[in-house]
Amino acid sequence: QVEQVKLLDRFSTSNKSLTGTLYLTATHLLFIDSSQRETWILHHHIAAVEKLPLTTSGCPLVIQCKNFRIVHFVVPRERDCHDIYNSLLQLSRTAQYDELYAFSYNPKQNASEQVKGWQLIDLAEEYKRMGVPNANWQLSDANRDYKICETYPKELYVPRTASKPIIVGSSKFRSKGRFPVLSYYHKDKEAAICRCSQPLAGFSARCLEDEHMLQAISKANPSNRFMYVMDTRPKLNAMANRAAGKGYENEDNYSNIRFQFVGIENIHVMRSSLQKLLEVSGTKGLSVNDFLSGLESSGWLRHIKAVLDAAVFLVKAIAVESASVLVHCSDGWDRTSQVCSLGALLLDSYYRTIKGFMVLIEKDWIAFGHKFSDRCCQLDGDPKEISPVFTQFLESVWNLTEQFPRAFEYNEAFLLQIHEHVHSCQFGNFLGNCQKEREELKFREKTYSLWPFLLDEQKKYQNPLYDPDVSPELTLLEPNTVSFNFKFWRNMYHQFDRSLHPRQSVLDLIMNMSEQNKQLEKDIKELEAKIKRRNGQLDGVLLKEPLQSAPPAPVSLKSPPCFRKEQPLMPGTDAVRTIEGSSSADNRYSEFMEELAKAEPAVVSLEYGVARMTC
Amino acid sequence: MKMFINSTCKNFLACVDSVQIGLTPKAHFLSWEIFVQMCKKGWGLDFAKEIHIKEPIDEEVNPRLLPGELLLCEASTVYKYIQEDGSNCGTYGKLICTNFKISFLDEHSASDDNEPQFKNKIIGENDITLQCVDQIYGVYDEKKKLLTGQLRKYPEKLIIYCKDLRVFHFCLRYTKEEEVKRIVSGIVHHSQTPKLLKRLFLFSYASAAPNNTDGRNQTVMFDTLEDWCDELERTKGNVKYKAVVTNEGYRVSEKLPLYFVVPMCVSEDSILKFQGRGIPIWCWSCRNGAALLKMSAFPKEQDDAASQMQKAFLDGIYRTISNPPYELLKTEDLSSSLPCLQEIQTAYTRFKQLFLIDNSTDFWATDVKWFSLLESTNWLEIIRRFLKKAIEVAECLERQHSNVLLIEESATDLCCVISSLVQVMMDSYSRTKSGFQSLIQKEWVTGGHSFLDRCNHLHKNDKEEAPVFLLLLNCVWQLVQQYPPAFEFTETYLTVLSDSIYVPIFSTFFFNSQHQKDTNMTGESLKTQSGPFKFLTVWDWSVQFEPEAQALLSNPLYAEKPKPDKRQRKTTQFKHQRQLSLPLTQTKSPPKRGFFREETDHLIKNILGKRIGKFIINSSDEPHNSFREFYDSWHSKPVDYHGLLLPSIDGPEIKVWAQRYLRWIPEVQLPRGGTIATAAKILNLMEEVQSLQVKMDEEHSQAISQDVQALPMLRSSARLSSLFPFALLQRQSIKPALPTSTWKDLEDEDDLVKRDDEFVDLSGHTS
Repeated sequence: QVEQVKLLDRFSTSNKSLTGTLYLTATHLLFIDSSQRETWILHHHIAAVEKLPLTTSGCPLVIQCKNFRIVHFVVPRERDCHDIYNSLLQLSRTAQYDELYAFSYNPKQNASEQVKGWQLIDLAEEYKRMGVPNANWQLSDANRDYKICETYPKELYVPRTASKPIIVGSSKFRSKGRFPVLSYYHKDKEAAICRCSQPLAGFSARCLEDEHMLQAISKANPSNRFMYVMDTRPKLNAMANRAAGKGYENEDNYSNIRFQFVGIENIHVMRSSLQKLLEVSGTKGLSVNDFLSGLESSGWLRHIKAVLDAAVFLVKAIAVESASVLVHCSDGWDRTSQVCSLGALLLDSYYRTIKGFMVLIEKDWIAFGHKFSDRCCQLDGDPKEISPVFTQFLESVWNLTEQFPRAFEYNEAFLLQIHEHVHSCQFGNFLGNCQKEREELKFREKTYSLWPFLLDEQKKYQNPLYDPDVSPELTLLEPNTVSFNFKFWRNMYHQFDRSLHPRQSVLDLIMNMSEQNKQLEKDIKELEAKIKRRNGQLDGVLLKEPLQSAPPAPVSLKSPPCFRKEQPLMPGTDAVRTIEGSSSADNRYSEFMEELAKAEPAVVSLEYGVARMTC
Repeated sequence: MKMFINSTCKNFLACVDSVQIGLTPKAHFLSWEIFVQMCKKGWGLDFAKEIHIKEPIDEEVNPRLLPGELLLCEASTVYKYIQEDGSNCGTYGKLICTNFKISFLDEHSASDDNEPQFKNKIIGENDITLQCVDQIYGVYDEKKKLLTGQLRKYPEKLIIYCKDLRVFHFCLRYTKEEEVKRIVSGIVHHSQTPKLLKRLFLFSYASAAPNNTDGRNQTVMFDTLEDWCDELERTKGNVKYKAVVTNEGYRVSEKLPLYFVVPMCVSEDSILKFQGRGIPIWCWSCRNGAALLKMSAFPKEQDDAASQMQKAFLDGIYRTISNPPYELLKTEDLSSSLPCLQEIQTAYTRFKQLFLIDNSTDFWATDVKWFSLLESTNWLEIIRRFLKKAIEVAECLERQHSNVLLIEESATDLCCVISSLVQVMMDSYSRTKSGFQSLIQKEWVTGGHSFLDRCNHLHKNDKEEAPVFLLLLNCVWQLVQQYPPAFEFTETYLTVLSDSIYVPIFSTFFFNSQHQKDTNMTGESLKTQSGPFKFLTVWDWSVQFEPEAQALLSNPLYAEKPKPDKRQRKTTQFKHQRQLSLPLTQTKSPPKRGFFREETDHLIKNILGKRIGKFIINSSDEPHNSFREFYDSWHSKPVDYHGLLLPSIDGPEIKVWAQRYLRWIPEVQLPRGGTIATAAKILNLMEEVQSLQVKMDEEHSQAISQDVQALPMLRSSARLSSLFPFALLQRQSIKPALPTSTWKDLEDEDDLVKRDDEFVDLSGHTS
């Protein structure tokens, strides 16, 4: 505990600071300022700590977090600063899984709730929803004991014609044993998205089983016997791999395949690109020109575009040509996960619901062994393994939500919350690198699953504009990947820099309105109840009207749940009319909130009028 | 089109190796993309034959002419390309040139079934007013040449770039030679060469179609003394400022309006002394009494005595208006602290070039380095600097209660931008439609902005051209998109307004000053039946748009300012006060270094080390920034859409006005997406709320007469694209699926070791 610590706002030029007390707990760093506002920072979120040269006001300490928060403390005494620095260094570096916060975190759930939480997402159920197993695809038990591939899940879906020797042979020809398996099955087109790692082809090696495997995949699709093989790497990288005995498929050796490179850069390029982006966006009073040139030179949005371009390519192959696609990169857990999951998201509106998105992450990222632990640096490890691959995926999704504001059930806050917990190590879902590891360490017994908690606070994550009715038109999303359509995600990179946020967005407005709507509905019920109680005591006019105006309410209840949220003014109108008896032309829309907070329900209705919106 | 695809597919199959024999046309999806790319790389597949969708039409298509519009020349069998993607699809038709517009007529123009949803009644889809023509290029043997003045050779293709960012390609290969000569020289002559003011279509239209409408809608025109007095009263400026009639008959200056407002203490003599120069002219008064003033500066005098006299005069003026009851005076010389007109013009010329795209090959070429191209234009940075200056002025008025005097050579260019912006930010009346229109009347039209010269309508002097008014619209757009609920109008309104600058049936943007308008109105008109001309004003939107289309100009989320009745007045005032009372950290001790100093927004570039400390730029060496503090303290409070509104001017927040600049580019179209999807949803809701309200009103038998304006255009929202309401849905273009491969080539090729992760592994093995 250190007192008289100053917290500086990194974007304010006025040098204003908050003074308060800094505490270090076993799991969090806590700062309480003089007005009792608390800032909590989880140790696992700390990416780097640095002491800056001593200044007149004290010893500055800068903490950079994985959720892109940067805090700047000034500690009056150098010794304290040194102590904090050292303890933070130790606390933020965890050597073993069981030291992670998830193992000490107790959300007051009993054992059965914990089990239920883990069972919330059932991948077998999900494959059933897609329509497998079926005549062409079956569940394979080849990887039952993680014998064939350690980084794959146990349950794998493969073409029915792919026998076990073919699977085993194919896996031996693939890097890390990650042979081609089903990732997504498109029921209507009977086409599949499959994923694997690069073949160990070198300059001339062949593998008959692997060739059979690919043939089995293309044969499993009755509508188009051609299939695409997408190598998500730039061609140059794939060529370089050939020298190492790896590489890519030779079109001549495989029948009926079309091979395509799509040029997504590797994890190291992405890591330094993000670094550059953060440098640019962290500048105070950034001018437009500096921002634009920085954005261009960081290349970050270009990389996001490359990922989405690849997904669009994949989707076109399936939706337009009904062709199956096999996606791989080097090991098939970074770029492959990005492309497969984004492709499925564009094809299937289920993944655009809150539950569906959880399923998608469980399936393509967690189960198929995206190395969350390494990429997010959950344990103190090789810094070269860290890369914002999953962040890129979320950012791609965010860009899609920007392009199609009505196609997604979830909102930005949902994506940000997931990003937060991927790094927080508070829940067991994202710990570890693969399913095998998770099983061995018994995460399911010892930790909790994130998803039930997100579902509990679902309201926060719902997109008020979501329109499930448009689905037939919007099942297939066709995003536009022109550079102009890619935006800088301010709320991701400046989530904690309040001074950079817009004052209020239309979305917030709608969210607030829906909140008020609920409040008002409650008020109506209360008032109606009151009136019933006092029946006969009041004069007739006041009594009759509320009963008359009751009918509109059921109308709103009939419409789909998220639509109902958005008709805030209607019951409100009722309330006004019933009490005031006449309409005031007074539009006090923006003052809704404050008054709601301070006034009694009955008075509230008196206060605001109906926002008379003339279109 | 099908035929076209088939033939190209055949070509393609012939030249690609024969492995894929037996591919169904369906399976050509990828090969098609590769093919398109191959063509772009110029792989010698010659298919530059036009594929005719429509056969030449025989029957005459009669052009629809406005009153006073004369057909000057025409050419038939002109071929207009529909898609600019090099596929050469198009239609035949007639190209005509009148004294008002250039127009292409095909059979579509005769039939009504292909009407765009959002239709301008005056300017059709294929109409270009002569003033809207930016540049004309002729194509000779695949080479583009700018056409101006006299021509010796006639081109086979005509490319017209419009000021509203449309691009037209006309092929004249099938047109008779004499017709080509006539039409090309006609178009070039009428749209590109200097013109007399009286030859503007404005006058022939006004004399042929006498304007009998009242013309006076809610917009205040500021051409009478009462208008100025009302404005003084509205802003409570009438205590210290007075409207003067000194300029009646333009005795003082032809640049100044007939009536204007000056401080009470300024005498008539001093106004007359230097033709109105050196006189502070009132723009607007803030609620706290501080006023925004402007002054046209004295030109640089060689003569010492003269400049001495001017200095003495100015000192006298400053002395009188710096004393109580007047607030402290800050002067602000805009010519030294803002980019000059030349800079603005250069930036805009470069900026618009990004959007005037010949074909999609060009588009993809620019897309690759979009952000750096955007940066190189400097246009967004100029917008940012103007917004920043406006915030600084607002800070002086609002927080320091001091008057601000804007000084500029003529006080009709940058002054207008800053004073308008300040009023939009500080006065919620300026954020209503009629308020904004009145503001433009006050500051720009009556205020004497030289629209004719700045828009170069007459092609008199290219050097005078500068998109100052467009700059204001761009700045206001930034505000609109940051605070949509605060404005009664939409971005579509601004877009349409920016287009109206080039429509010469409205007088609003076709005079340099009120004096010029007055003298030309009464003038010896050609066929005078009835005295002076009566011009239309652009603010009468019904001239251009049907009511359904006009509905798109109003913001459904806007709520009118509450009119405080007796019961509520107290709370409302309290609110305003709280809004105003910013933390009084330093009211009277601003640094003497001067509030307005040269912008020094330097990015500290050389700190990109490995340390994270670089994220924290040491604040001590940055100049103390009171404007930023002002902004921060405003920002930390909840927003009042009817109070002060400050834009965020951080680099990422300044955006491209997509609706205006990208609307004709099919490549950026987002079918069934974009912000319009949100807007459609909100409108649907509003409609529902309204109908419920109507129902309820009926129930209460209070039938409030409220016209429920339906929006049939938006109702079928599912198929709207992001370019709504401007682009057409049928304009789909083919784009390469993997444009990433092109930008790869641009990057420096690192050596293989750096490029790949696996290769690093390998080196680990060997060591």
